[in-house]
Amino acid sequence: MFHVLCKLSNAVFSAIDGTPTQKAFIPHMLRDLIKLEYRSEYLKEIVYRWCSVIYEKRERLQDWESLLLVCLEIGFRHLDFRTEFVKTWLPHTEHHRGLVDVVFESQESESIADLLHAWTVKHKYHRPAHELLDSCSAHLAGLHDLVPFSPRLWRLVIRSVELIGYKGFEGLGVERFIGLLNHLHVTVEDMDDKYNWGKLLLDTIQSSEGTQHLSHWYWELLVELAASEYPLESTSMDLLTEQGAPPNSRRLRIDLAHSLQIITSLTEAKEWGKLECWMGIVWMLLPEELDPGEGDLGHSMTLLFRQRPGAVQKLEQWMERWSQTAGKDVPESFKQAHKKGHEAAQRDGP
Amino acid sequence: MYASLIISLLAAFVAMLGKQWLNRYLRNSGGSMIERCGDRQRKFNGLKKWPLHFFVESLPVMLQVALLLLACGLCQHMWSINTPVACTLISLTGVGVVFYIGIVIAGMSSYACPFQTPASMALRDPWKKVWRRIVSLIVRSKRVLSRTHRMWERGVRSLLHRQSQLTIPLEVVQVDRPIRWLDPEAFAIIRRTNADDARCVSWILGDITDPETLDAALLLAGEIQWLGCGVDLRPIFDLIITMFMSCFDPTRILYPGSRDRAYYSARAMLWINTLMMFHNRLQRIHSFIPSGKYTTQVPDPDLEHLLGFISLDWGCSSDIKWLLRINPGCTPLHSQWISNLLLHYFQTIVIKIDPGLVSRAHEIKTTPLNAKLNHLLIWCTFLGSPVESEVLMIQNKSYAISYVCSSGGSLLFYQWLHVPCPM
Repeated sequence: MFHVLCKLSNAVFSAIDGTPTQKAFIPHMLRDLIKLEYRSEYLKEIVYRWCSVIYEKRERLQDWESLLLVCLEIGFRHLDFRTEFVKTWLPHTEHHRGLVDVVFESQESESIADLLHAWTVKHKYHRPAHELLDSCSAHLAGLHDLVPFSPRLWRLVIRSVELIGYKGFEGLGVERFIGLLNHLHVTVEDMDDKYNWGKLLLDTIQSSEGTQHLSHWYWELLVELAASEYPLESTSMDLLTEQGAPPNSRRLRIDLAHSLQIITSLTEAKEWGKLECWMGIVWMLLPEELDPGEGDLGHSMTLLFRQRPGAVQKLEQWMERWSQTAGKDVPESFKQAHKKGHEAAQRDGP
Repeated sequence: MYASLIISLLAAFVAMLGKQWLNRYLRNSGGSMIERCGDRQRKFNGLKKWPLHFFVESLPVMLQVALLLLACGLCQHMWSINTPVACTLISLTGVGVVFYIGIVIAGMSSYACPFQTPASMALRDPWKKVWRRIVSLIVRSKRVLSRTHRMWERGVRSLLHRQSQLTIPLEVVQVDRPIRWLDPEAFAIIRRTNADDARCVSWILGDITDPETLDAALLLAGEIQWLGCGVDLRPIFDLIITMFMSCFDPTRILYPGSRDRAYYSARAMLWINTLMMFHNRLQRIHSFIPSGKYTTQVPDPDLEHLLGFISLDWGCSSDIKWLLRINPGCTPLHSQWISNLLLHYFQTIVIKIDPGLVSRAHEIKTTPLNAKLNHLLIWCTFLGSPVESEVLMIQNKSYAISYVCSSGGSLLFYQWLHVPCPM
């Protein structure tokens, strides 16, 4: 298979520069390859190279856009979208960036999934194509309004968002990104790297639009991530996903002053459900050396307990769970603030 | 010298006994055909059970030992009488010993060597083991070297990739380099075996009348690369046509029991015809086949596919389309053979056909991998890259696959791309 594919690859390269008759055979051959049941690992790499060359020499080819879509289909449609790793290394070039417009403008959900699969797969020694994925962010943000999500596309969009991160979408308007997130309704099981998701959700929440528009589901998801210590899970791609950062530093942290601002805005908006989650997140993720004391945080807790009595027990349970998984004691300051808040809420009533 | 004399006499004695034993074996005990066959089989079983071959094969060894002892004794005896004559004898004995060692080594190194001796046969297996060990040591040391090289490159690559991912120059992506399909040695073996097969089949078709042997030769005749083997194809082709015609009655209906003969001779005819086309560029020799509609009494997709093709008005463009229309009921072996024929066919002429026909031939579920590989190679031809002659020599393309797998396909792939292997 290997030799034959190499031969075919050479033939395609020469046919692109060849006579019109030879060029006319290219689409037929590509459509024939789609039917090939046994697809060697090399075929994926070979068609990915063809994509680059077809895009580079697009002026010499008729209907080059459809050729690109067929190439992606040959290489990636048959793969199991749940697998993160591939054996062959895909050689990304500047020409591959041209695929973004072609594929997203086709509005074919499976073709978009093919492209995202190509750029999100990992190789043992190579990171996914972050630079190329970043150029998809503008299209991804509004994708759910244009294309129906198949399970495959849905899973691959989740993986792409995880790899691009909040910063890739920040410049495009956070509202659109939050719309996509709310549509995706991600669960812990859908995440490949929980640390990246925790960071993404924290960044989103800390933006003004995120505090308002991010669905309650994600606030609870972030509590789940923080309480379960998922972000500290070591993965084989640690060194590659977090450039230069050793695995031990993969820990979510938040800033107290910023947290208090979010508490204030949530209190003003009377978003008690979100406030309950945020309170838990703050206590779990605040650096140990920082003692939040009883000031604003204690006051907010009292207000929360008064408006939402169920939060007393929920917060206690989350902290207990966090203490067990992280192997740390529940901070004394939390215990005191919780106790005082609970007593005050009981005394004053709702 | 005396020992030599005794051994010679002993050899003569054993030879006489052997002659006596073989006479007994060949003696006909009479009776019916079945009784004689049974008696012969009993004697043959006895021969295999008792080591008669040991005595027979020991005769030349005894004579060789006797000759060596005689030469040594004579040399020693002459040394005390006449030194110059002794020197001549010693040098002649030395030449004889060197010659014997030479034929032992020749017989040991190749089974096909005609100079086989008991010593070469006995030493062949131990020698093969030693040789394999030497080869494995060389291969292992090569692997260690390449692994060290890869580890070094991996380190460099990982450093480079942290800096940037889009580092692949386009000339590497578009690389168009010649592919070495087979190791030159493997290719030489295939060529040699093919030439041997061609001569062998040519001889069988001309001189042998045993039906089973003829059928086997016809099967092979449809797969051999006949050209360039020094065999005159015209008489062979005539013989095959005669055999094909003898399978049908005057109304061109297949005789019962002639299926295999008809199928394999039809295959051989088409194959030789295509090869001749390939060689002479459109000078077909199929006009010698009597035209008409050949039919079978029972449904047989493989044979019907070939007969349908033969029944066509050969030379028109519809014949190739017929070949491409493989019935889903055809066997995988037939599909593979047809794909190989088509691969040769399209090397010869570029016919204006609907590319969809090639695709449809590919779609059939029973199409084996080898046939699919042939279809991909046909696409290469359509795209303007004819297939190399060494590829056409390979009937079974999976041979190339196994060759690559055993020699590290991924490494070869990166060598082909002229980029360092990331693994």
